[in-house]
Amino acid sequence: MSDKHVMGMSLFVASEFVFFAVLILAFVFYRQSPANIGGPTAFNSLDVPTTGFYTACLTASSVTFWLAERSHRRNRTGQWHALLLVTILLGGAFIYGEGREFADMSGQGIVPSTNLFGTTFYALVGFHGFHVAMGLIVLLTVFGISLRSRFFRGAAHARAIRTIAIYWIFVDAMWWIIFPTVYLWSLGNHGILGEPFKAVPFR
Amino acid sequence: MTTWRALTTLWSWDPTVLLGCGGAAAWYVQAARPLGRRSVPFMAGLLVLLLALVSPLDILGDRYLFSAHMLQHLLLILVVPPLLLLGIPPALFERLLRRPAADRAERLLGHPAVAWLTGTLSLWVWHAPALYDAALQNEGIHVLQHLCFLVASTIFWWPVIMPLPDRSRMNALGTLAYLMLGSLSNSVLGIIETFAPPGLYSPYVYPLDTLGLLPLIRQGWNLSPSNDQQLGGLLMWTGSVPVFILACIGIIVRWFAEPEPDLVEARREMEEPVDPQWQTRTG
Amino acid sequence: MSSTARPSNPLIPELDTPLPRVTDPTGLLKWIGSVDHKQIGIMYMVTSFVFFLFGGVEALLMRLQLSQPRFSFLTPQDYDQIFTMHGTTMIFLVIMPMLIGFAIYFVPLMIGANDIAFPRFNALSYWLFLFGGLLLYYSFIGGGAPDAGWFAYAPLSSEFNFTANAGMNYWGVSLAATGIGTIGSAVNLMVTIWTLRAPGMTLRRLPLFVWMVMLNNVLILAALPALNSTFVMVLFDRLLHANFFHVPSGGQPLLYQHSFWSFGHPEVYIMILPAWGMISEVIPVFARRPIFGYNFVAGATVAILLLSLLVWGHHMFTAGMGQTLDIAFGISSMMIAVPTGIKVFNWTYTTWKASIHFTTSMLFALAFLLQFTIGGVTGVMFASFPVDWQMEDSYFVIAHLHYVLMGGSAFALWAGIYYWFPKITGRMMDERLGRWNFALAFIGFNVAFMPQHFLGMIGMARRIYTYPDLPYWHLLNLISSIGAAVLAIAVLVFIWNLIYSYLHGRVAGDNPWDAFTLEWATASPPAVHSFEQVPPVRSRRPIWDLNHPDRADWKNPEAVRGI
Repeated sequence: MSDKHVMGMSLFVASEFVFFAVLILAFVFYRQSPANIGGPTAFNSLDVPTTGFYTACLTASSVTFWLAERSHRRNRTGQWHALLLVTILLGGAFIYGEGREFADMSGQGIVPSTNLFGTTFYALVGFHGFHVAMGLIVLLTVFGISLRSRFFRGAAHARAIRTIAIYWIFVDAMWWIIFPTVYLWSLGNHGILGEPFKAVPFR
Repeated sequence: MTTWRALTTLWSWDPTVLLGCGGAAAWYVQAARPLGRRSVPFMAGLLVLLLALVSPLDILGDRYLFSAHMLQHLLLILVVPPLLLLGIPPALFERLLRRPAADRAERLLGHPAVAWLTGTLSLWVWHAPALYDAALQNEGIHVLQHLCFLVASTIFWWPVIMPLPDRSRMNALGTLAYLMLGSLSNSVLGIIETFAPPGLYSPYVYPLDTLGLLPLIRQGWNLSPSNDQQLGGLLMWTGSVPVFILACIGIIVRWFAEPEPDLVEARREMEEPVDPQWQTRTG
Repeated sequence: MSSTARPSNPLIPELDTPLPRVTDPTGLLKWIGSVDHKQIGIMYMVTSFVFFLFGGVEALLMRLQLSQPRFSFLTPQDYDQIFTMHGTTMIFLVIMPMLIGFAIYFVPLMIGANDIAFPRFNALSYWLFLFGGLLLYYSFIGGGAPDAGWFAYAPLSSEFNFTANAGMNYWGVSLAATGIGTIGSAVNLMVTIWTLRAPGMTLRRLPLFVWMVMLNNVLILAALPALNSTFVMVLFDRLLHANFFHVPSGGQPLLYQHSFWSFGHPEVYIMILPAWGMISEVIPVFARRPIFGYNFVAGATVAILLLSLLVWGHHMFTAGMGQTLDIAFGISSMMIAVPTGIKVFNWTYTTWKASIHFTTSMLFALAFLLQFTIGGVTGVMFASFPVDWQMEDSYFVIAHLHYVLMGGSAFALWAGIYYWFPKITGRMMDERLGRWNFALAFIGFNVAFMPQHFLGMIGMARRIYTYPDLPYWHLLNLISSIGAAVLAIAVLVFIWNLIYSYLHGRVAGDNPWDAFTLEWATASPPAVHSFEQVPPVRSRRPIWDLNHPDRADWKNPEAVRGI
């Protein structure tokens, strides 16, 4: 890890873990608050299977990007472009899925101001989505530049791709902490907190 | 039952523990000949191990107090393994690692990431209430738990103590980061236990009072289940920090005492007699 | 170099994109477009000094308002905004960027590098700082300045209708921007220290300023993101009417305090570590000997690094955390006093039987030792929570924090400025003006803040815009305000010294102080390409070795053992 770009990105990514840790702590702290009774909670508002599908997309995008990086290192430009495109599409699918989830939930009246669940859910999942979106913009930019010029195409730029890979895999790894905490942990019978709530569309 | 009576009568002289510690001492005396200064930390480690397992801590921790059990575990994971590792002479390690199986094990388990995860995960997994309570209720599982702690922690401390510099895979800064992350992980677990509502480990809420100790514990020592759990969490959270700080300081002392190879060359170039003290430090 | 000159040599590949036209910008454009670490360092220093003047004016307004009981110079709403801005400015827009600016300027020079690891990222960090600060100050005319205190406790800060204006929105957004810049600087400096050291400059031979900056980067990376999360939560509550700290919906204000102080405590160490580094450079140079106990100073700082992440609750002893948490944080807070004490001992012992040169820089450094120790002692007093229960949120806290932050960091910065001004500008600062600066600052500072200890003990609370005419309250407040005025004069003298010395100071030469570390091998001011060649580094004092080959450290290890 003696390359300075890899080192710099790793340090930055480590600091972002701390950022998410605080939001995760807030989510866990408020998860079972009695103040949520009667309203939307993690136990009655989340569509785990659908989000699971989009999670699979994001995870697959990490794999495809790793493969893309390998092709890039071996100077196989066609493969590099193809795999990068697939990565972008999978990442885009994740963002689309999350956007649809947010739209559905706000249609049922779950917004940041609704209750503790609404607040902590949107803050945590929303900021993660924001990080994914930023990564997606970077990937699109790389794709565009690589198509139009020699930059990012040759193996000499492997370092830059490696650096971006660290960010993208971090974003995926972060989701693998957030997804179990928010979604998987909400499965099962949770008594009164799992009761359905009266959906009021947010206007 | 008074505190004095409790401290003097609640010793559990378990024959397996006595045999184990005695056997280890005997092995050491025979294998680490001639005995040098290193026998002090090794014997101290064995003494702490013995005390942790036979003193009143054991009975109190098994049946009454989460905090006592926590103290016992902290001794097993933070005090005993480093002392034992420090006490075994490097030459003895060399001999032990000449066996191919041992050598392969060291190459796998001695990798910093593996060692760190082994130590950390063993701690976190065994603190899951289901497993922790099972160990309290079943002696076999309890022995397994203690063995796990001892073995996993020894693996954790191996890259830190690293008596064989040739096998070292981390530089000093890396070791400091390793220790700090270990300390933070301990602290996070301790914080969770401190903040969790009392009753995280249910056997401690209404312990079966076969020894008549409960009045002493609840009234005399003012340890309600809630206080007890918080105290235990506190020991893990704050009490473990001095050990990690001492370890960090040890790493820095060792690092700064390393010889500087480029100076030996430079002084040779000066054609002045090299300071003999300087030369022996290279060895 | 233009794209029309195409070499036909087969070994040189055809270029399909024209080369950029390289023009040499002059004047202001050179500074605005600069990615050179020295220029950016200077921009950090100048910008934070300007913000220091703003913060200082805010302080003077506060002291004026408090100079008499029941004074109505400022309304309560004005006062709230001014003390909030004073704290926020001094912490986020003065001390942190000033220390970072020195690090950006000097760390590459001290390790023998020609630039920082990511020059453009460095520039971005600076501009984030500048525009974040400007946005914060824009609030005065853009709807009202933040008014909930620099640490902005929820729910006062997080309820959109508890604060009088939109100022807290500015607070959250602008500090988030500067915070991202700071994180960037930490990444930049860390990678610089790890990858760009000159040959022979092992980590054990790092100048202590660089060592402290290296550890400081870890703290920044661990603490600033927690602050950004806190801003997210507050802004969610304010702007989206969320419920993080909204009590009717089950939100808990104590969560804010835990979250904020997890940042806030490492933050105070972020503000002092580079200052300790400066002191560790200044004192040995003017005592004409290597620092006593380098290993101990370095090792103690590592202990502080670990401990500082575990003591945040000592800012919350009066928040009702419960006995267990109070005990936990009390113990760890007492532990953290030990490594700091070790350092103070080492600095002091460095001066024992030494041939001390009482330059202005050294005077400020010696005053640092005294004042920082006083601040540290009052800090340890707070670790005892019964004492804290009495003194929390009183002027005793204000006295403590100013003794460590002003008597400590600010005096260390003064020492550093007087020490390094010749290197940055090529001219010496005037010693006579410097002595006046020091005398006025020392007297003014102590007269301003020593009485505040007593005010705290007799019950005056902080953040009150006025007070009743209780016995001694008026007298002590008046003395404190007079001290503040003297301090202001000291700053004016300092500004005059800066201007005068820059224009007419004696030409400095490369190493006017016969100092020890690599930055003194460059010209004064250093050329754009600081080092054409780097001197050999065989010890912790490479330039001493170079200039005094017969007494070089590496030939004489016993004399400079780190212990």
